[in-house]
Amino acid sequence: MAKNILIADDSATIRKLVSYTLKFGGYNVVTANDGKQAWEILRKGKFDMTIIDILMPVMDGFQLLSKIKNDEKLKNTPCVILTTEGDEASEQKGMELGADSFMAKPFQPQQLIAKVEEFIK
Amino acid sequence: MDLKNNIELMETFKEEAQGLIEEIRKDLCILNSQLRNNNYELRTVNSTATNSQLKILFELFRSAHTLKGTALCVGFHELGEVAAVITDIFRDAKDGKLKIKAEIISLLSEGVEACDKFLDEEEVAGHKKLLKRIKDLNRETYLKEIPD
Repeated sequence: MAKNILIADDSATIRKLVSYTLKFGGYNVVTANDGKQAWEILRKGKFDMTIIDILMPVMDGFQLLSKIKNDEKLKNTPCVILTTEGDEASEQKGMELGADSFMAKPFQPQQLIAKVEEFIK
Repeated sequence: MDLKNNIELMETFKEEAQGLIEEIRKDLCILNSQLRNNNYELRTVNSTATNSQLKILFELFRSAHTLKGTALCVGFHELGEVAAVITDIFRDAKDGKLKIKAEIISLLSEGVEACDKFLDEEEVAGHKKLLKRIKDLNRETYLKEIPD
């Protein structure tokens, strides 16, 4: 059965790019425009992984990550944070909040697939 | 996977990027008109900037940052390169490391127009020089002007 991945990003282009890539890789993908919407979707569904952008309106990626990692039911869901290349401060903060891994933008589609496969076989 | 041949993705990118460019233009105009009320200077440290000015600076940073990230991801490298240096300026402005002046807004506006041309896949004459001017601004000019 195909695994479910949630992507939270305020950019329609990135949502489409990630969806296109992961669907190509055989995954089910659900998208959210911001952290709040992602949180509502996560609480209602069952996801094998989340991919989270940092800079989003309403609720940013750090806030979302913190909520996931402090939730008994969701805390074991792997969270990959989308960062900008060289943004070490964000990686540090993400690590402190419990991020499982990071993916720097820009990324190649095959890099994204490889990153997902680290967590989902 | 050739992204530039993915018509649906390219349409989404161009529509989103155009919207972001419009947002940046609009916010730069607002900032410019507010500068006139501050003797053409806006400093975010110790601070002559109001909450609404800081909010505009944050929105400028977010728009430029998103423009940079999306452009680089879908292969619009020159657009992404210009958006990246603009993003750095807005980051420093919102973090209080930069005294905004009219000439900085003018230079950033040139950068935004270059982004617009790259989005239309037009050549931009002298864009390397423009990049250097914005980078030099980031490295040298304004940091000297900000006291600790």
